[in-house]
Amino acid sequence: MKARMPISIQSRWLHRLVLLLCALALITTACGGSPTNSGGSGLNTGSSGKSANEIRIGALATLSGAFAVDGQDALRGVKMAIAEFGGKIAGKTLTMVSESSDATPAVARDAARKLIEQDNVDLMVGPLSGDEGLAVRDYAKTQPGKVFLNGSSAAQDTTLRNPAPNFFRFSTDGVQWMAGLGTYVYQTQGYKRIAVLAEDYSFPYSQVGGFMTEFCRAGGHVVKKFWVPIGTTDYSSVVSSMPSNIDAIYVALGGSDSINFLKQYVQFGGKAKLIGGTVTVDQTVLSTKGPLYQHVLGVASAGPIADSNPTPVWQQFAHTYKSMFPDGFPSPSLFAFTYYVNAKAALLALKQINGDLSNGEAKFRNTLSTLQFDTPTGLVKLDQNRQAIANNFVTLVDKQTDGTLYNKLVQIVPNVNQTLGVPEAQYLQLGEFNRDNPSCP
Amino acid sequence: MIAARIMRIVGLFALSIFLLTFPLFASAFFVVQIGIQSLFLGIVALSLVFLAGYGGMLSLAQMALYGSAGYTLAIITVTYGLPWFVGVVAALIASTLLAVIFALISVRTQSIYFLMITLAEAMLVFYYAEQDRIFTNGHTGINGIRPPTVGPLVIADPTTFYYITLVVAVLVYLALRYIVRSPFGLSLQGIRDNARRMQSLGFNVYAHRVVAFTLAGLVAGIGGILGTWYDGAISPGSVDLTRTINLLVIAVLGGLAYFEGAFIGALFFTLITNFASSFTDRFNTVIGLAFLLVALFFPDGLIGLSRKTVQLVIRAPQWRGKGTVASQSASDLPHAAIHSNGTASDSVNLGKQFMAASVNPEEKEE
Repeated sequence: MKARMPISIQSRWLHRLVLLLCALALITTACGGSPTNSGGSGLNTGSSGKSANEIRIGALATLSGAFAVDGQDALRGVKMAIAEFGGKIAGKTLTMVSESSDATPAVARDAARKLIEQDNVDLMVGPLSGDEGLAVRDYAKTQPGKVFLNGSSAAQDTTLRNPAPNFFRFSTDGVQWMAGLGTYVYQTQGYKRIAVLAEDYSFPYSQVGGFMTEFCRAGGHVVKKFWVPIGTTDYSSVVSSMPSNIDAIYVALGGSDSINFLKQYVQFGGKAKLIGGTVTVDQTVLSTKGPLYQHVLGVASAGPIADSNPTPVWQQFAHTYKSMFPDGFPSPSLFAFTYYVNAKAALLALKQINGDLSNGEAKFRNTLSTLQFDTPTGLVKLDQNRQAIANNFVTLVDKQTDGTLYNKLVQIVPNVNQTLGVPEAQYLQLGEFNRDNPSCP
Repeated sequence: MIAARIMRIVGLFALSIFLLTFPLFASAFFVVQIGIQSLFLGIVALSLVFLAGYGGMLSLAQMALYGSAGYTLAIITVTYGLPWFVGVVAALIASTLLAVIFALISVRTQSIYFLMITLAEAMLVFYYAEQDRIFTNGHTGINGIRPPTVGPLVIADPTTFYYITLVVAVLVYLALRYIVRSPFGLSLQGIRDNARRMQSLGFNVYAHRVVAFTLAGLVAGIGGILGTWYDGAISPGSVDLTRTINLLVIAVLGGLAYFEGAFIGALFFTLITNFASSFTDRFNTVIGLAFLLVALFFPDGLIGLSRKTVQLVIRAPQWRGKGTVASQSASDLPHAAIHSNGTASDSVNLGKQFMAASVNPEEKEE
């Protein structure tokens, strides 16, 4: 038996080999036929094989996984920006190439590499979630000749610590999104002692950090923090171990996590009032079918947009969104908005420089770093780390006459910068926000 | 068969030339994202093919073992800042030791129960990585893992990394091929086909399985080191359920019965995941459909399918020359034994096939 087995295996070897070669041959043919491939140019993939009359925009969003719905809305934002310019800049056609990730950093980095190196995009907008942003920022450093713009990714460190010179974020981050909320709930709603419930990763760290910086400064106390993994479906243990002597719970959960918690909180007879993180009661949650009313009416939250923003520019933006995408949300989500703003920044800069992307996009980068423009929520400009300074909005969940829920604008916090007004050096000394920092028990 | 032998040499030569010169004509994207990724995923899939195809153990824990090596490498080299070779050695020890523990827990079960237990083990590693703060840094994981520079070799350079991954893949492939033909490998296949019979012949079934699982853990760990250098980071997302299932898809797509299938499956999977999204937003559906088609119609995977096709083309004249179709179908039996029992290990007719395998008619052909 021992002598025979190898022979039988060897005789199969030939057929497998032939097949292997067939497969490899097929693949090489496929590469050669690809219109975007740089062909025999060796290792340098910087050269573009596309026509000179095209500006190609890569859009990276989560089209699968827990944030798939958000990712779809994000792409709508990019499409709106392109449509606004009539699909052309300086006689060059704007085309969008989209790639998907599943909210994991590794997949986001691979998708970004595909867009930049294989699809030869001139600039990239994305990604959507916090840790992805850190991964794409690191990848951007290896591609200095391309411009990267953020999508809705809002981990603070993407631009605050160790930033990439070609990564621009015209949207505000998770800390900035909390501006105004801590003070508002302490002074206006009168919550003095609260608990925190949040997902255990970089974006909620930013959110909780931003919220607590203000709330603790105002004199409030955060008596307990609960950190749950993303995708937690059962919150019974959290609800049952919630301290009883609190005024409210600050909840920073996203998408289905938020919906699951809100449903269970009422089922378990939770009494404390709720305060929402930016995505806890956003359009993707509020538009969920089912009776959420009694759970979320009156919940205070803050973020870069307010559904009921009365300014004509916002109303116009929301109107365009609804007419372009009848299948979208009742009102553009945070993701559509942030992708729109970042894509629009790129297109405005490209228009100023007449689509001149020569010299490793140097002109494009310079123009972007000094660009200021009016977004549907007001003026946006960048700081020295290429991070946006923009308005922030405190909102309350309210019910429209037709029964749909929306975020009612209650306060505008103008020109919020990344360090919430604290000088950068002093702010950096506070340390990275994480599970334990800040703390005010 | 002389013609076949010449063809084999020519084919091997052509394949070697292709793989060795790949970075010279392919774009950096293809070298890195298709080439390197297929190779290191192929190595991990190889460990699964070895377990499933030759040991009858369909393990879902291979990505977790991959992750244990990756995390160890990251913790040693990034968190503690120790030299890379300490990290590599520790990573291999970690994945091998974890494999021993996993094996001790799981090898006494079979088929669906084995699958469930290894799935539980995989999820154990995932949730540990997700929730531990001290070592694995939770959801964010550990970033900034750089491939080292060894003397003149800058492994971070894509072309160098490609060649290193290629060499490692070939070595692992040859080593596993050698092992499955060794007395240990043959008794392992015997255990796969009929564990009770082997036991009554005096073989220690559990020891064989534990050793096989441990070896596979080492191989998965090697893939883990390469994959973690490739990603430059490791997070629970690298070892989650999606990644676990992806590896199974790779192995089944390629064909659980052949080591080459691991690499073909990885290549096919990498190509689909990278390029299906260029044509349709529903690329996950494309992957799912491809998987369904292969699972339903080509149980031997892509490599089995092509082997059959090639066989039809090449062997057709030989049949006529030999005159009997019967001898041909008989010569197929040993393969059938391997394929059909790649996953199920304990069925009644296995004894027959075990016998068939030991009376191999192909020997005469050679």
